[in-house]
Amino acid sequence: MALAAAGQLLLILRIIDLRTSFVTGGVGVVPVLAWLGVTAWLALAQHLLPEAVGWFGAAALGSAALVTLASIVKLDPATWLLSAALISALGGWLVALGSALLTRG
Amino acid sequence: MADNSQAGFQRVELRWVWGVGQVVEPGRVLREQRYDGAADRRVATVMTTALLMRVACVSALLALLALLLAGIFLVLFFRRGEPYGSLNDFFSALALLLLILPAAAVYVVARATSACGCSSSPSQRSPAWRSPPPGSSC
Repeated sequence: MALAAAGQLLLILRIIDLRTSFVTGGVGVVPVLAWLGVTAWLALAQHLLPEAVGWFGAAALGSAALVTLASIVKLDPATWLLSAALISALGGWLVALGSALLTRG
Repeated sequence: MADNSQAGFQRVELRWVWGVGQVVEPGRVLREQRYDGAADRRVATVMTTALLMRVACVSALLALLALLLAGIFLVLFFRRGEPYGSLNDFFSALALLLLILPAAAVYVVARATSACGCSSSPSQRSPAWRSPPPGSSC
């Protein structure tokens, strides 16, 4: 996460170019996706987090895969719709995760 | 080895001179570290788990806000170009950074629950993610 964030910030500051930011973003997003998967597993299989966290996390992973496929095939309207679905799923995941952590605290 | 010093923080004795393993451990965010000459020990002030959970909750909600702004700026970038692309990059980076604390908090919850054997099987649907009862090792 820190690597991807640093890459984006270095891109804004023009310290690295767009192509290099693809590398930092590509490498940095892998642990984010892995973390989404882990929270889904912790919620749905281990019941350490509320089920909503798991379902939203799984929905985010699924819609991320579909956005990737749609953008490869260049399905413009579908890409935008799926992107909106991805942001909605991530939003639900963050709200569910935040409220679960608040309950724990 | 821990004693309460301030709300949300606790003082712990570092086991090693380097202290790195204990201090950098998620959920134990270092606030200050010093050598207690009288007791000949190295102590650190760290964030309690309860405070970490509250801060992580706020961080997750701020990440959501940053994510929404990043999405809006992405749409504006494709319609109008710069400077919305840079704004999208900035808020994406911010959202990613704000996710670090929730990740640490989830790690602490998972570790604490697995350490005390509170993990529930599918047949045992008690919400292990809720606050542990007083006196529980979780």
